[in-house]
Amino acid sequence: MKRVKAAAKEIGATYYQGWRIDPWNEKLAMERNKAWMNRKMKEGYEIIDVGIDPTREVRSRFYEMGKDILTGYAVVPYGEYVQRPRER
Amino acid sequence: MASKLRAAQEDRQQRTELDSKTSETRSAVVGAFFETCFDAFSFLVEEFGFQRGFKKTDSRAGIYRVWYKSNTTGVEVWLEWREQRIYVELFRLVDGRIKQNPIVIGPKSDLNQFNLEDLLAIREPGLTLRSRAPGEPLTVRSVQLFLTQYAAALRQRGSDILRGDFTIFRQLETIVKGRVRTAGIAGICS
Repeated sequence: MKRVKAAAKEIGATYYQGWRIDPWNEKLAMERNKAWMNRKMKEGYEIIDVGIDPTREVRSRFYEMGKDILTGYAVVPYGEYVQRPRER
Repeated sequence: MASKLRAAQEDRQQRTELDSKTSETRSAVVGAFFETCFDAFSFLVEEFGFQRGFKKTDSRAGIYRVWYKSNTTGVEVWLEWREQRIYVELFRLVDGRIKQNPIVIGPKSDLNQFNLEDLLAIREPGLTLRSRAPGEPLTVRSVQLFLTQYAAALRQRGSDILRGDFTIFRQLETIVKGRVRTAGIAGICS
């Protein structure tokens, strides 16, 4: 999550935060995250993949879910995105 | 196979429903996190000469952190609300500062930050700290338990790092870069 936040800050992107879910309910969080991603896809947003966090052994369930939803959608790897020439 | 899958799905569904009934509020869980953290990790200050811990809160992102620093080493304890996860990271300071790893890690990346769980996997492979099933919400009790366990494990198994000896980081780097290679093969790593 902190990598996602850092990456989003770096490139001025938005990300699903889920902080309003209190007390925690994972099912609800997953549903809202899915709905958020589907909305962004319908609106034609460019989606950037920050990839896995290799310093952790266990993968994020949200990342795995996101990968499933994005199957077939053109996703840009973060490393590729930051190497693009910027408009001045 | 299909019935096993269905049973697992039903079990998961029941657990999720139970979770929503038994979940504790964020303020209770986060409050326990900070309180227990300062208590459990006080040995860093008392025994290893670290500066007192500092806390940082980003409520909108649901990220909470306590960090400690000595002349050589950084320790950060994190709680991520969205992931319902607590973890501890160890840092080799760069110019006296805590420096996060690059977002994209490649074969030549300089790594100065590693997860305590990887250290424990090398030094105490039998130790299981994840007593929570994946997706289960954090509670005041589980937060207290995890932090106490993490602190004890760091004190016992990470004293070399806490004193500024980072020899083990070479092994940890191999583990982390190995994951990057594996993920690269699966085509999910940027």
